[in-house]
Amino acid sequence: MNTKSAPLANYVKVDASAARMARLWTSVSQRLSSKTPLYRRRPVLAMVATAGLLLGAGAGYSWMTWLGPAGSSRGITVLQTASDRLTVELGKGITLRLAAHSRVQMLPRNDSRVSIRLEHGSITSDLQPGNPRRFSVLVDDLEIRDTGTRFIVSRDASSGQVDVSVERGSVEISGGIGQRDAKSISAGERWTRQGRPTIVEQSGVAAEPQTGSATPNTPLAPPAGSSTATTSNALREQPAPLSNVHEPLEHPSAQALFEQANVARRAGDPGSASQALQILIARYPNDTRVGLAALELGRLRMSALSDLPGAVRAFQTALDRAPSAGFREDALAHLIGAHSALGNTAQCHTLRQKYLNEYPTGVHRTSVERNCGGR
Amino acid sequence: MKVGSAVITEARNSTKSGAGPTDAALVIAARAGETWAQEALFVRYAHRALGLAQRMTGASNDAEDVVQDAFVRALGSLHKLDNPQAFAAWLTTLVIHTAQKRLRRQRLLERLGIRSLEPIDPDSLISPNAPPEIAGELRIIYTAVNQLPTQERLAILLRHVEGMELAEVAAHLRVSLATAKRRIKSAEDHLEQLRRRQ
Repeated sequence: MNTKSAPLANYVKVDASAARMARLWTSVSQRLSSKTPLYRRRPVLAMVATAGLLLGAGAGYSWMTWLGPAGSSRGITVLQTASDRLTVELGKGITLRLAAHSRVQMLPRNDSRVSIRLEHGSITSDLQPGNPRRFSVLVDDLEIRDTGTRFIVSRDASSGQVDVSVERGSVEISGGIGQRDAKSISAGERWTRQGRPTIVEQSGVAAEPQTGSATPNTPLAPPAGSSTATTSNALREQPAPLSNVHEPLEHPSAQALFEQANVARRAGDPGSASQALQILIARYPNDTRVGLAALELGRLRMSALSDLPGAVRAFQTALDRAPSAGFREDALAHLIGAHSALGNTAQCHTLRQKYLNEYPTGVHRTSVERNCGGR
Repeated sequence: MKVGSAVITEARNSTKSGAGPTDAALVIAARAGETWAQEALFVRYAHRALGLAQRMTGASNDAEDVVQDAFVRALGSLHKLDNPQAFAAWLTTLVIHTAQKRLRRQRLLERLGIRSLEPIDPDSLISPNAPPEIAGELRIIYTAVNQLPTQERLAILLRHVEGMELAEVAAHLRVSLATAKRRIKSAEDHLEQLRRRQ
Protein backbone atom coordinates (compact mmCIF):
# COMPACT_ATOMS: atom_id res chain seq x y z
CA MET A 1 0.00 0.00 0.00
CA ASN A 2 1.04 3.58 -0.34
CA THR A 3 2.96 4.32 2.80
CA LYS A 4 3.52 8.03 2.25
CA SER A 5 1.88 10.47 4.61
CA ALA A 6 -1.19 11.88 2.96
CA PRO A 7 -2.71 14.65 5.08
CA LEU A 8 -6.16 14.57 3.50
CA ALA A 9 -6.40 10.78 3.63
CA ASN A 10 -5.65 10.90 7.33
CA TYR A 11 -8.81 12.92 7.95
CA VAL A 12 -11.25 10.54 6.29
CA LYS A 13 -13.04 8.33 8.80
CA VAL A 14 -12.60 4.59 8.46
CA ASP A 15 -14.29 2.07 10.69
CA ALA A 16 -11.60 -0.56 11.06
CA SER A 17 -12.86 -2.14 14.24
CA ALA A 18 -11.71 -5.63 15.13
CA ALA A 19 -15.23 -6.95 14.69
CA ARG A 20 -15.48 -5.51 11.18
CA MET A 21 -12.08 -6.89 10.22
CA ALA A 22 -12.95 -10.31 11.59
CA ARG A 23 -16.19 -10.31 9.61
CA LEU A 24 -14.32 -9.28 6.47
CA TRP A 25 -11.74 -12.04 6.88
CA THR A 26 -14.46 -14.62 7.42
CA SER A 27 -16.08 -13.59 4.13
CA VAL A 28 -12.76 -13.54 2.28
CA SER A 29 -11.65 -16.93 3.56
CA GLN A 30 -15.04 -18.49 2.77
CA ARG A 31 -14.91 -17.14 -0.76
CA LEU A 32 -11.33 -18.33 -1.18
CA SER A 33 -12.14 -21.85 -0.09
CA SER A 34 -15.18 -22.05 -2.32
CA LYS A 35 -13.22 -20.62 -5.24
CA THR A 36 -10.25 -22.97 -5.03
CA PRO A 37 -10.71 -26.13 -7.02
CA LEU A 38 -10.86 -29.34 -5.00
CA TYR A 39 -7.67 -30.75 -6.49
CA ARG A 40 -5.73 -27.70 -5.31
CA ARG A 41 -7.26 -27.48 -1.89
CA ARG A 42 -6.94 -31.10 -1.00
CA PRO A 43 -4.53 -32.64 -3.48
CA VAL A 44 -3.92 -35.80 -1.51
CA LEU A 45 -7.59 -36.36 -0.77
CA ALA A 46 -8.47 -35.70 -4.39
CA MET A 47 -5.88 -38.19 -5.61
CA VAL A 48 -6.90 -40.81 -3.10
CA ALA A 49 -10.55 -40.25 -4.02
CA THR A 50 -9.71 -40.56 -7.71
CA ALA A 51 -7.75 -43.74 -7.16
CA GLY A 52 -10.41 -45.10 -4.84
CA LEU A 53 -13.15 -44.48 -7.36
CA LEU A 54 -11.20 -46.05 -10.15
CA LEU A 55 -10.07 -49.00 -8.08
CA GLY A 56 -13.55 -49.38 -6.70
CA ALA A 57 -14.88 -49.51 -10.19
CA GLY A 58 -12.76 -52.57 -10.58
CA ALA A 59 -9.02 -53.06 -10.51
CA GLY A 60 -8.20 -55.46 -13.23
CA TYR A 61 -11.20 -54.45 -15.29
CA SER A 62 -10.93 -52.40 -18.38
CA TRP A 63 -11.94 -48.83 -18.47
CA MET A 64 -13.17 -48.03 -21.93
CA THR A 65 -14.29 -44.49 -21.64
CA TRP A 66 -11.25 -42.34 -21.16
CA LEU A 67 -10.13 -41.73 -24.69
CA GLY A 68 -13.42 -40.47 -25.97
CA PRO A 69 -13.98 -39.32 -29.50
CA ALA A 70 -10.97 -38.38 -31.53
CA GLY A 71 -10.14 -34.72 -31.29
CA SER A 72 -11.85 -34.14 -28.00
CA SER A 73 -9.82 -32.09 -25.59
CA ARG A 74 -9.70 -32.50 -21.86
CA GLY A 75 -7.30 -31.43 -19.15
CA ILE A 76 -4.77 -33.51 -17.27
CA THR A 77 -6.15 -36.57 -15.51
CA VAL A 78 -4.20 -38.00 -12.61
CA LEU A 79 -4.34 -41.70 -11.88
CA GLN A 80 -2.85 -43.13 -8.74
CA THR A 81 -2.96 -46.64 -7.40
CA ALA A 82 -2.68 -47.78 -3.82
CA SER A 83 -2.05 -51.46 -3.16
CA ASP A 84 -3.71 -52.83 -6.27
CA ARG A 85 -3.12 -52.66 -10.00
CA LEU A 86 -5.24 -50.82 -12.49
CA THR A 87 -5.91 -51.57 -16.14
CA VAL A 88 -6.99 -48.70 -18.33
CA GLU A 89 -8.27 -49.37 -21.82
CA LEU A 90 -7.81 -46.20 -23.83
CA GLY A 91 -9.43 -47.65 -26.91
CA LYS A 92 -8.02 -47.74 -30.43
CA GLY A 93 -5.56 -50.44 -29.44
CA ILE A 94 -3.95 -48.80 -26.40
CA THR A 95 -4.02 -50.55 -23.03
CA LEU A 96 -2.25 -49.33 -19.93
CA ARG A 97 -1.55 -51.33 -16.81
CA LEU A 98 -0.63 -49.31 -13.78
CA ALA A 99 1.27 -51.23 -11.09
CA ALA A 100 0.55 -50.80 -7.40
CA HIS A 101 1.82 -47.60 -5.77
CA SER A 102 2.13 -45.78 -9.07
CA ARG A 103 1.03 -42.38 -10.26
CA VAL A 104 0.63 -41.06 -13.79
CA GLN A 105 -0.72 -37.93 -15.43
CA MET A 106 -2.67 -38.38 -18.64
CA LEU A 107 -1.82 -35.28 -20.59
CA PRO A 108 -4.20 -33.49 -22.94
CA ARG A 109 -4.34 -35.42 -26.20
CA ASN A 110 -5.26 -34.77 -29.77
CA ASP A 111 -5.90 -36.71 -32.98
CA SER A 112 -2.28 -37.56 -33.50
CA ARG A 113 -0.83 -37.85 -30.08
CA VAL A 114 -1.36 -39.51 -26.70
CA SER A 115 1.11 -38.74 -23.92
CA ILE A 116 1.34 -39.97 -20.37
CA ARG A 117 3.68 -38.69 -17.71
CA LEU A 118 4.89 -41.26 -15.19
CA GLU A 119 5.62 -39.64 -11.84
CA HIS A 120 6.56 -42.82 -9.98
CA GLY A 121 5.84 -46.50 -9.98
CA SER A 122 5.52 -48.62 -13.08
CA ILE A 123 3.33 -48.63 -16.16
CA THR A 124 3.01 -51.23 -18.90
CA SER A 125 1.88 -49.90 -22.26
CA ASP A 126 0.45 -52.32 -24.78
CA LEU A 127 -0.16 -50.98 -28.26
CA GLN A 128 -1.43 -52.78 -31.28
CA PRO A 129 0.91 -52.40 -34.26
CA GLY A 130 -0.07 -49.74 -36.77
CA ASN A 131 -1.67 -47.43 -34.24
CA PRO A 132 -2.08 -44.09 -36.04
CA ARG A 133 -1.50 -42.03 -32.92
CA ARG A 134 1.91 -41.21 -31.62
CA PHE A 135 2.06 -42.67 -28.15
CA SER A 136 4.70 -41.72 -25.62
CA VAL A 137 5.48 -42.07 -21.96
CA LEU A 138 7.26 -39.09 -20.39
CA VAL A 139 9.35 -39.58 -17.31
CA ASP A 140 11.49 -36.79 -15.90
CA ASP A 141 13.24 -35.31 -18.93
CA LEU A 142 12.89 -38.46 -21.07
CA GLU A 143 10.36 -39.38 -23.70
CA ILE A 144 9.81 -43.04 -24.55
CA ARG A 145 8.02 -43.18 -27.87
CA ASP A 146 6.23 -46.14 -29.33
CA THR A 147 4.33 -47.05 -32.43
CA GLY A 148 3.25 -50.61 -31.79
CA THR A 149 4.71 -52.68 -29.03
CA ARG A 150 4.53 -53.61 -25.38
CA PHE A 151 6.93 -52.00 -22.96
CA ILE A 152 7.25 -51.18 -19.28
CA VAL A 153 8.49 -47.92 -17.83
CA SER A 154 9.29 -47.65 -14.15
CA ARG A 155 10.51 -44.82 -11.98
CA ASP A 156 11.66 -45.25 -8.42
CA ALA A 157 10.26 -42.38 -6.35
CA SER A 158 13.17 -42.27 -3.90
CA SER A 159 16.20 -42.74 -6.15
CA GLY A 160 14.73 -41.41 -9.37
CA GLN A 161 16.03 -44.43 -11.29
CA VAL A 162 14.23 -44.96 -14.58
CA ASP A 163 13.88 -48.40 -16.19
CA VAL A 164 12.50 -49.15 -19.63
CA SER A 165 11.89 -52.79 -20.61
CA VAL A 166 10.61 -53.76 -24.05
CA GLU A 167 8.61 -56.98 -24.34
CA ARG A 168 7.53 -56.67 -27.96
CA GLY A 169 8.52 -54.40 -30.84
CA SER A 170 10.80 -51.45 -30.08
CA VAL A 171 10.74 -48.00 -28.56
CA GLU A 172 12.75 -44.83 -28.94
CA ILE A 173 14.03 -42.91 -25.95
CA SER A 174 14.80 -39.24 -26.39
CA GLY A 175 15.65 -36.40 -24.05
CA GLY A 176 18.09 -36.62 -21.19
CA ILE A 177 21.03 -34.41 -20.49
CA GLY A 178 23.75 -34.56 -23.08
CA GLN A 179 21.74 -36.78 -25.42
CA ARG A 180 20.97 -35.36 -28.80
CA ASP A 181 20.09 -38.60 -30.54
CA ALA A 182 17.20 -40.87 -29.75
CA LYS A 183 18.05 -44.35 -28.51
CA SER A 184 16.30 -47.41 -29.87
CA ILE A 185 15.52 -50.29 -27.51
CA SER A 186 14.29 -53.56 -28.95
CA ALA A 187 12.31 -56.51 -27.58
CA GLY A 188 14.13 -58.28 -24.78
CA GLU A 189 16.29 -55.27 -23.95
CA ARG A 190 16.20 -53.07 -20.93
CA TRP A 191 17.48 -49.51 -20.48
CA THR A 192 18.26 -48.01 -17.12
CA ARG A 193 19.19 -44.55 -15.98
CA GLN A 194 20.36 -44.38 -12.42
CA GLY A 195 19.57 -41.33 -10.31
CA ARG A 196 17.75 -38.15 -11.14
CA PRO A 197 18.60 -36.04 -14.15
CA THR A 198 21.40 -33.65 -13.34
CA ILE A 199 20.70 -30.02 -14.00
CA VAL A 200 23.45 -27.45 -14.25
CA GLU A 201 22.58 -24.59 -11.94
CA GLN A 202 25.17 -21.93 -12.61
CA SER A 203 28.53 -22.45 -14.13
CA GLY A 204 27.87 -25.15 -16.67
CA VAL A 205 29.32 -27.85 -14.45
CA ALA A 206 26.99 -30.74 -13.75
CA ALA A 207 26.54 -31.52 -10.09
CA GLU A 208 26.79 -35.26 -10.44
CA PRO A 209 27.23 -37.65 -13.32
CA GLN A 210 24.53 -40.03 -14.40
CA THR A 211 24.43 -43.00 -16.66
CA GLY A 212 21.99 -44.82 -18.82
CA SER A 213 22.61 -48.34 -20.01
CA ALA A 214 20.98 -50.95 -22.17
CA THR A 215 21.22 -54.55 -21.13
CA PRO A 216 19.56 -57.79 -22.07
CA ASN A 217 16.31 -58.21 -20.27
CA THR A 218 17.78 -60.61 -17.72
CA PRO A 219 19.01 -60.01 -15.17
CA LEU A 220 16.55 -57.23 -14.81
CA ALA A 221 18.39 -54.85 -12.51
CA PRO A 222 22.08 -54.03 -12.74
CA PRO A 223 23.87 -53.60 -9.41
CA ALA A 224 23.39 -50.15 -7.93
CA GLY A 225 26.13 -47.79 -8.93
CA SER A 226 27.39 -49.95 -11.78
CA SER A 227 27.08 -48.36 -15.14
CA THR A 228 29.72 -49.94 -17.30
CA ALA A 229 29.51 -53.73 -16.96
CA THR A 230 26.95 -54.16 -19.69
CA THR A 231 26.76 -50.63 -20.96
CA SER A 232 26.70 -49.78 -24.58
CA ASN A 233 28.69 -46.60 -25.18
CA ALA A 234 26.05 -45.35 -27.54
CA LEU A 235 23.53 -45.33 -24.73
CA ARG A 236 25.62 -43.85 -21.97
CA GLU A 237 24.56 -40.42 -20.78
CA GLN A 238 27.33 -38.02 -19.95
CA PRO A 239 27.13 -34.81 -17.99
CA ALA A 240 27.10 -31.88 -20.32
CA PRO A 241 26.83 -28.12 -20.29
CA LEU A 242 23.34 -26.78 -20.08
CA SER A 243 23.40 -25.67 -23.69
CA ASN A 244 23.61 -29.31 -24.72
CA VAL A 245 20.50 -30.38 -22.90
CA HIS A 246 18.30 -32.19 -25.34
CA GLU A 247 14.84 -30.88 -24.74
CA PRO A 248 12.10 -33.43 -24.39
CA LEU A 249 9.19 -33.03 -26.72
CA GLU A 250 6.67 -32.21 -24.00
CA HIS A 251 7.73 -28.88 -22.58
CA PRO A 252 6.03 -27.64 -19.45
CA SER A 253 6.18 -23.89 -18.93
CA ALA A 254 8.05 -22.28 -16.05
CA GLN A 255 4.75 -21.63 -14.34
CA ALA A 256 3.66 -25.24 -14.79
CA LEU A 257 6.97 -26.48 -13.36
CA PHE A 258 6.64 -24.15 -10.40
CA GLU A 259 3.10 -25.33 -9.77
CA GLN A 260 4.18 -28.95 -10.24
CA ALA A 261 6.85 -28.44 -7.58
CA ASN A 262 4.28 -26.98 -5.19
CA VAL A 263 1.90 -29.88 -5.75
CA ALA A 264 4.68 -32.43 -5.24
CA ARG A 265 5.89 -30.72 -2.09
CA ARG A 266 2.40 -30.60 -0.64
CA ALA A 267 1.92 -34.26 -1.53
CA GLY A 268 5.04 -35.12 0.47
CA ASP A 269 7.31 -35.83 -2.50
CA PRO A 270 10.26 -33.45 -2.05
CA GLY A 271 12.29 -35.39 -4.61
CA SER A 272 9.87 -34.63 -7.43
CA ALA A 273 9.42 -31.06 -6.20
CA SER A 274 13.16 -30.55 -6.21
CA GLN A 275 13.43 -32.01 -9.67
CA ALA A 276 10.76 -29.74 -11.13
CA LEU A 277 12.50 -26.72 -9.64
CA GLN A 278 15.88 -27.81 -11.04
CA ILE A 279 14.38 -28.16 -14.49
CA LEU A 280 12.76 -24.73 -14.18
CA ILE A 281 16.07 -23.12 -13.18
CA ALA A 282 18.00 -24.79 -15.97
CA ARG A 283 15.45 -24.43 -18.71
CA TYR A 284 14.17 -20.92 -17.99
CA PRO A 285 17.21 -19.02 -16.69
CA ASN A 286 15.63 -15.66 -17.49
CA ASP A 287 12.24 -16.36 -15.99
CA THR A 288 11.26 -14.10 -13.12
CA ARG A 289 10.53 -17.13 -10.94
CA VAL A 290 14.09 -18.45 -11.09
CA GLY A 291 15.29 -16.76 -7.92
CA LEU A 292 12.27 -17.90 -6.00
CA ALA A 293 12.56 -21.41 -7.44
CA ALA A 294 16.19 -21.57 -6.33
CA LEU A 295 15.23 -20.44 -2.83
CA GLU A 296 12.53 -23.13 -2.65
CA LEU A 297 14.97 -25.71 -3.99
CA GLY A 298 17.51 -24.80 -1.34
CA ARG A 299 14.93 -25.08 1.41
CA LEU A 300 13.85 -28.50 0.16
CA ARG A 301 17.41 -29.75 -0.08
CA MET A 302 18.26 -28.45 3.33
CA SER A 303 15.22 -29.67 5.22
CA ALA A 304 13.65 -32.61 3.40
CA LEU A 305 16.52 -34.01 1.35
CA SER A 306 19.42 -33.43 3.76
CA ASP A 307 21.55 -32.28 0.85
CA LEU A 308 23.52 -29.42 2.37
CA PRO A 309 26.02 -28.88 -0.48
CA GLY A 310 23.08 -28.82 -2.91
CA ALA A 311 21.29 -26.36 -0.66
CA VAL A 312 24.34 -24.06 -0.67
CA ARG A 313 24.39 -24.09 -4.49
CA ALA A 314 20.68 -23.37 -4.68
CA PHE A 315 20.74 -20.48 -2.18
CA GLN A 316 23.74 -19.00 -3.97
CA THR A 317 21.79 -19.29 -7.24
CA ALA A 318 18.86 -17.48 -5.64
CA LEU A 319 21.14 -14.62 -4.60
CA ASP A 320 22.89 -14.44 -7.97
CA ARG A 321 19.79 -14.65 -10.14
CA ALA A 322 17.63 -12.30 -8.09
CA PRO A 323 20.04 -9.89 -6.41
CA SER A 324 17.39 -7.31 -5.61
CA ALA A 325 14.44 -9.61 -4.87
CA GLY A 326 12.40 -9.19 -1.73
CA PHE A 327 13.42 -12.63 -0.51
CA ARG A 328 17.14 -11.89 -0.74
CA GLU A 329 17.36 -11.56 3.03
CA ASP A 330 15.75 -15.00 3.46
CA ALA A 331 18.11 -16.56 0.90
CA LEU A 332 21.18 -15.06 2.54
CA ALA A 333 20.10 -16.24 5.99
CA HIS A 334 19.48 -19.75 4.69
CA LEU A 335 22.83 -19.79 2.92
CA ILE A 336 24.54 -18.89 6.20
CA GLY A 337 22.63 -21.70 7.92
CA ALA A 338 23.71 -24.21 5.28
CA HIS A 339 27.38 -23.18 5.48
CA SER A 340 27.19 -23.34 9.25
CA ALA A 341 25.74 -26.86 9.16
CA LEU A 342 28.46 -27.92 6.74
CA GLY A 343 31.16 -26.52 8.99
CA ASN A 344 32.37 -24.04 6.35
CA THR A 345 33.45 -21.61 9.02
CA ALA A 346 35.25 -19.07 6.83
CA GLN A 347 32.41 -18.62 4.33
CA CYS A 348 29.90 -18.68 7.15
CA HIS A 349 31.64 -15.84 9.00
CA THR A 350 32.00 -13.75 5.85
CA LEU A 351 28.34 -14.13 4.94
CA ARG A 352 27.20 -13.60 8.50
CA GLN A 353 29.02 -10.27 8.62
CA LYS A 354 27.50 -9.38 5.25
CA TYR A 355 24.01 -10.15 6.55
CA LEU A 356 24.50 -8.16 9.75
CA ASN A 357 25.80 -5.17 7.77
CA GLU A 358 22.98 -5.26 5.25
CA TYR A 359 20.16 -6.16 7.61
CA PRO A 360 21.07 -4.82 11.05
CA THR A 361 17.46 -5.23 12.21
CA GLY A 362 16.66 -8.16 9.94
CA VAL A 363 14.10 -10.81 10.82
CA HIS A 364 16.74 -13.55 10.84
CA ARG A 365 19.31 -11.61 12.87
CA THR A 366 19.00 -13.78 15.98
CA SER A 367 19.35 -17.07 14.15
CA VAL A 368 22.15 -15.72 11.94
CA GLU A 369 24.09 -14.63 15.02
CA ARG A 370 23.78 -18.13 16.42
CA ASN A 371 25.34 -19.64 13.28
CA CYS A 372 29.02 -20.22 12.49
CA GLY A 373 29.65 -21.34 16.05
CA GLY A 374 28.12 -18.26 17.66
CA ARG A 375 29.66 -14.81 18.03
CA MET B 1 8.28 -19.76 11.01
CA LYS B 2 5.56 -20.62 13.45
CA VAL B 3 2.00 -21.50 12.67
CA GLY B 4 -1.31 -20.20 13.86
CA SER B 5 -2.01 -17.10 15.83
CA ALA B 6 1.61 -16.48 16.76
CA VAL B 7 2.41 -15.66 13.18
CA ILE B 8 -0.63 -13.47 12.81
CA THR B 9 0.41 -11.49 15.86
CA GLU B 10 3.89 -11.09 14.40
CA ALA B 11 2.51 -10.12 11.05
CA ARG B 12 0.88 -7.02 12.49
CA ASN B 13 4.30 -5.56 13.00
CA SER B 14 6.50 -3.98 10.41
CA THR B 15 9.12 -6.38 9.12
CA LYS B 16 11.79 -3.70 9.11
CA SER B 17 11.69 -3.73 12.88
CA GLY B 18 12.59 -7.37 12.74
CA ALA B 19 9.38 -8.41 14.44
CA GLY B 20 7.62 -10.43 11.76
CA PRO B 21 8.03 -12.45 8.58
CA THR B 22 8.66 -10.55 5.38
CA ASP B 23 5.87 -10.09 2.86
CA ALA B 24 7.85 -12.37 0.55
CA ALA B 25 7.91 -15.15 3.13
CA LEU B 26 4.18 -14.80 3.73
CA VAL B 27 3.42 -14.76 0.02
CA ILE B 28 5.53 -17.87 -0.55
CA ALA B 29 3.75 -19.68 2.26
CA ALA B 30 0.32 -18.46 1.16
CA ARG B 31 1.05 -19.51 -2.41
CA ALA B 32 1.82 -22.98 -1.09
CA GLY B 33 -1.68 -23.11 0.39
CA GLU B 34 -0.91 -22.11 3.97
CA THR B 35 -4.06 -20.39 5.23
CA TRP B 36 -2.33 -18.86 8.24
CA ALA B 37 -0.10 -16.95 5.82
CA GLN B 38 -3.13 -15.72 3.87
CA GLU B 39 -4.65 -14.53 7.09
CA ALA B 40 -1.42 -12.87 8.13
CA LEU B 41 -1.32 -10.93 4.85
CA PHE B 42 -4.94 -9.92 5.37
CA VAL B 43 -4.30 -8.75 8.91
CA ARG B 44 -1.26 -6.81 7.78
CA TYR B 45 -2.96 -4.94 4.93
CA ALA B 46 -6.74 -5.03 5.42
CA HIS B 47 -6.82 -1.84 7.46
CA ARG B 48 -5.02 0.19 4.81
CA ALA B 49 -6.96 -1.46 2.00
CA LEU B 50 -10.24 -0.62 3.71
CA GLY B 51 -9.19 3.00 4.15
CA LEU B 52 -8.18 3.30 0.52
CA ALA B 53 -11.42 1.65 -0.66
CA GLN B 54 -13.52 3.90 1.53
CA ARG B 55 -11.81 7.01 0.22
CA MET B 56 -12.24 5.83 -3.38
CA THR B 57 -15.89 4.81 -3.13
CA GLY B 58 -17.02 7.24 -0.44
CA ALA B 59 -19.32 4.61 1.05
CA SER B 60 -18.65 2.23 3.87
CA ASN B 61 -20.59 -0.73 2.44
CA ASP B 62 -19.05 -0.35 -0.99
CA ALA B 63 -15.61 -0.22 0.60
CA GLU B 64 -16.19 -3.52 2.35
CA ASP B 65 -17.21 -5.19 -0.88
CA VAL B 66 -14.20 -3.75 -2.67
CA VAL B 67 -11.80 -5.00 0.00
CA GLN B 68 -13.35 -8.44 -0.08
CA ASP B 69 -13.13 -8.66 -3.85
CA ALA B 70 -9.58 -7.34 -3.93
CA PHE B 71 -8.32 -9.78 -1.29
CA VAL B 72 -10.08 -12.74 -2.88
CA ARG B 73 -8.48 -11.81 -6.18
CA ALA B 74 -5.05 -11.19 -4.66
CA LEU B 75 -4.88 -14.28 -2.47
CA GLY B 76 -6.41 -16.44 -5.18
CA SER B 77 -3.88 -15.44 -7.80
CA LEU B 78 -0.63 -15.11 -5.89
CA HIS B 79 1.06 -17.23 -8.54
CA LYS B 80 0.79 -14.22 -10.84
CA LEU B 81 2.84 -12.08 -8.49
CA ASP B 82 6.39 -12.25 -9.79
CA ASN B 83 7.99 -10.37 -6.92
CA PRO B 84 6.50 -11.62 -3.64
CA GLN B 85 7.88 -8.63 -1.75
CA ALA B 86 5.73 -6.34 -3.93
CA PHE B 87 2.49 -7.68 -2.48
CA ALA B 88 1.50 -4.34 -0.94
CA ALA B 89 1.83 -2.35 -4.16
CA TRP B 90 0.05 -5.09 -6.06
CA LEU B 91 -2.82 -5.09 -3.58
CA THR B 92 -3.11 -1.31 -3.86
CA THR B 93 -3.56 -1.60 -7.61
CA LEU B 94 -6.13 -4.35 -7.14
CA VAL B 95 -8.13 -2.27 -4.65
CA ILE B 96 -8.13 0.71 -7.01
CA HIS B 97 -9.17 -1.42 -9.97
CA THR B 98 -11.88 -3.17 -8.02
CA ALA B 99 -13.22 0.19 -6.86
CA GLN B 100 -13.12 1.45 -10.44
CA LYS B 101 -15.09 -1.54 -11.68
CA ARG B 102 -17.64 -1.15 -8.94
CA LEU B 103 -18.13 2.57 -9.56
CA ARG B 104 -18.49 2.02 -13.31
CA ARG B 105 -21.07 -0.67 -12.76
CA GLN B 106 -23.03 1.58 -10.43
CA ARG B 107 -22.97 4.37 -13.01
CA LEU B 108 -24.15 1.98 -15.70
CA LEU B 109 -27.01 0.72 -13.55
CA GLU B 110 -27.99 4.30 -12.85
CA ARG B 111 -28.01 5.16 -16.55
CA LEU B 112 -30.16 2.13 -17.24
CA GLY B 113 -32.55 3.26 -14.55
CA ILE B 114 -32.03 0.06 -12.57
CA ARG B 115 -30.52 1.73 -9.56
CA SER B 116 -30.19 5.28 -8.31
CA LEU B 117 -26.76 6.30 -7.15
CA GLU B 118 -26.55 7.62 -3.61
CA PRO B 119 -24.49 10.82 -3.61
CA ILE B 120 -21.59 10.86 -1.20
CA ASP B 121 -22.29 12.76 1.98
CA PRO B 122 -18.93 14.50 2.66
CA ASP B 123 -19.73 15.18 6.29
CA SER B 124 -20.22 11.50 6.98
CA LEU B 125 -16.68 10.88 5.73
CA ILE B 126 -14.74 13.68 7.34
CA SER B 127 -13.13 12.97 10.66
CA PRO B 128 -14.22 15.24 13.53
CA ASN B 129 -10.54 15.87 14.20
CA ALA B 130 -9.97 17.44 10.78
CA PRO B 131 -8.83 21.08 10.89
CA PRO B 132 -11.35 23.43 9.27
CA GLU B 133 -9.29 24.09 6.13
CA ILE B 134 -8.77 20.36 5.51
CA ALA B 135 -12.43 19.61 6.22
CA GLY B 136 -13.35 22.32 3.70
CA GLU B 137 -11.05 20.91 1.06
CA LEU B 138 -12.37 17.38 1.58
CA ARG B 139 -15.93 18.68 1.38
CA ILE B 140 -15.23 20.31 -1.99
CA ILE B 141 -13.47 17.21 -3.34
CA TYR B 142 -16.17 14.77 -2.28
CA THR B 143 -18.93 17.07 -3.52
CA ALA B 144 -17.16 17.32 -6.86
CA VAL B 145 -16.48 13.62 -7.32
CA ASN B 146 -20.21 12.94 -7.23
CA GLN B 147 -20.38 14.61 -10.63
CA LEU B 148 -17.12 13.37 -12.15
CA PRO B 149 -16.66 10.43 -14.50
CA THR B 150 -15.16 7.42 -12.69
CA GLN B 151 -11.72 7.73 -14.23
CA GLU B 152 -11.38 11.40 -13.30
CA ARG B 153 -12.81 10.71 -9.87
CA LEU B 154 -10.16 8.09 -9.08
CA ALA B 155 -7.37 10.19 -10.53
CA ILE B 156 -8.20 13.24 -8.42
CA LEU B 157 -8.70 11.18 -5.27
CA LEU B 158 -5.37 9.38 -5.68
CA ARG B 159 -3.58 12.64 -6.36
CA HIS B 160 -5.18 14.96 -3.81
CA VAL B 161 -6.51 12.72 -1.06
CA GLU B 162 -3.97 9.89 -1.15
CA GLY B 163 -1.15 12.30 -1.97
CA MET B 164 0.33 10.14 -4.73
CA GLU B 165 2.84 11.41 -7.27
CA LEU B 166 1.62 11.71 -10.85
CA ALA B 167 3.66 8.69 -11.90
CA GLU B 168 2.12 6.61 -9.12
CA VAL B 169 -1.37 7.66 -10.13
CA ALA B 170 -0.63 6.67 -13.72
CA ALA B 171 0.84 3.34 -12.66
CA HIS B 172 -2.06 2.41 -10.39
CA LEU B 173 -4.64 3.39 -12.98
CA ARG B 174 -2.57 1.66 -15.69
CA VAL B 175 -2.65 4.68 -17.97
CA SER B 176 0.08 6.84 -19.43
CA LEU B 177 1.42 9.80 -17.52
CA ALA B 178 -0.17 12.17 -20.05
CA THR B 179 -3.58 10.56 -19.60
CA ALA B 180 -3.29 10.72 -15.84
CA LYS B 181 -2.34 14.42 -16.04
CA ARG B 182 -5.25 15.15 -18.35
CA ARG B 183 -7.75 13.46 -16.06
CA ILE B 184 -6.43 15.21 -12.98
CA LYS B 185 -6.48 18.57 -14.79
CA SER B 186 -10.06 18.07 -15.88
CA ALA B 187 -11.10 17.15 -12.34
CA GLU B 188 -9.20 20.10 -10.90
CA ASP B 189 -11.02 22.46 -13.24
CA HIS B 190 -14.26 21.09 -11.88
CA LEU B 191 -13.05 21.60 -8.31
CA GLU B 192 -12.08 25.15 -9.14
CA GLN B 193 -15.55 25.90 -10.41
CA LEU B 194 -17.01 24.59 -7.17
CA ARG B 195 -14.63 26.70 -5.08
CA ARG B 196 -15.66 29.82 -6.99
CA ARG B 197 -19.30 29.09 -6.37
CA GLN B 198 -18.77 28.69 -2.61
